[in-house]
Amino acid sequence: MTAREKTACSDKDLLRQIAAGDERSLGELYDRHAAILLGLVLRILRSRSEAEDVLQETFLQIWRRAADFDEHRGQPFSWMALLARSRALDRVRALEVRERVALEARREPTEAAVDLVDHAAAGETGRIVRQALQRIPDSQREVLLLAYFDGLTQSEIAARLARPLGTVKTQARAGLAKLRELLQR
Amino acid sequence: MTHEECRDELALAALGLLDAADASAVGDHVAGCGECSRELAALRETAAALTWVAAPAEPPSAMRERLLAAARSSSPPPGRAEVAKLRRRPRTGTFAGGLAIAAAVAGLVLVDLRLSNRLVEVESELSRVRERSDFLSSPEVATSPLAGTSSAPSARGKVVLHRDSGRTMLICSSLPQAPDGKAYQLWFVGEGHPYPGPVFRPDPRGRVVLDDRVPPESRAATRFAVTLEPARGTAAPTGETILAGGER
Repeated sequence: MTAREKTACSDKDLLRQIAAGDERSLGELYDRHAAILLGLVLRILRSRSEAEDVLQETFLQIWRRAADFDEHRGQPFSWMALLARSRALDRVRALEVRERVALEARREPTEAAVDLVDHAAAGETGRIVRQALQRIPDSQREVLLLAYFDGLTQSEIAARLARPLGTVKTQARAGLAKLRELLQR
Repeated sequence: MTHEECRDELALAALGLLDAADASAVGDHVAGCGECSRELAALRETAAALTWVAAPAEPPSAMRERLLAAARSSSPPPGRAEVAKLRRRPRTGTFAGGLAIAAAVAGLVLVDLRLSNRLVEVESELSRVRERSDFLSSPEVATSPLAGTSSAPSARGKVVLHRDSGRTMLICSSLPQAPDGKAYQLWFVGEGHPYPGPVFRPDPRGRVVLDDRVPPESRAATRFAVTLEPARGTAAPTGETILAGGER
């Protein structure tokens, strides 16, 4: 495969080739997405070594389950992010209490002050998403981020933020709808 | 769940906010409703965009090779393994005999899959242990022994810090159990200022192994201390010092 043909390969093509057992395509997919997926699991786990573990497991799962990817149900990136996020949240739940205490303590400060500063490495997509989030009311953004990065249920978020459950639901719906609208522009 | 009720829940489902019962009711409706199924897929795409709020992090350079090696050893992917094995099924023999052989082959495939999954887990664990041991013995890390103060004379520990990346391991033994509502916290002391580190509790035998990455301001530290603090940790030390030490 020449370099040119390689760049023309979409993520969907790569997943198809991985499903057929092509290791080079797994390497290519890794080169494209490992950094942002590691960023995702690191934000959930707050521990570099745990996050690296989860990243490796995620790519092995992609290797084994590429055939399960269904392009009618979403984009490859969302599928991979879902696998990585679920594994990371499972890991948080499985952590022993002592580790969880440390993890929670490390989470606390960033949760309130949502950092929407530009990370140079995140590139264009990162910039667009962060700018969109800045235009969403704080109360809605807070719910979206607690749901996505902390894996809390709506009742847990209501308890954490001391808001009525109905309010949390409304904020989650409104926040996601607004984000969708802003990203479609 | 009616169509209308389900539409109301789709955003919550896409964000993973629903409890198991509601999520399953939504799943049941979506399975038979094209409109809700498309809407849920679109909302999931939006939710996945939140990934980009995270700052990308460069994985260690050795990781790519480790991944490909692990993929190779778990290869071929399950789908193909099954096809390959079933093809070897003998075509002759009685119907009952054929069934028995087919069942045995299916059983073997299952055992084979379980073993290969287990192998992947073991390899992943082994590569973690290997990676930690490489880190601990790397010439680029600074190792600082910690000694117990009069509050815990038999406690021992060490901090291993890689200044460029901020990766820090804390290893302790014989640490007394923290009282209820309290936990230990590690402090990085540089130019007389203590920077807060992770909060932790020892295991029942008083041991601790922490592996963490600390922010830049903590990385210049040459002295370290472990204090007893409220369980949620503090921004500045308030409690008794249990372990202290610095670079050799």
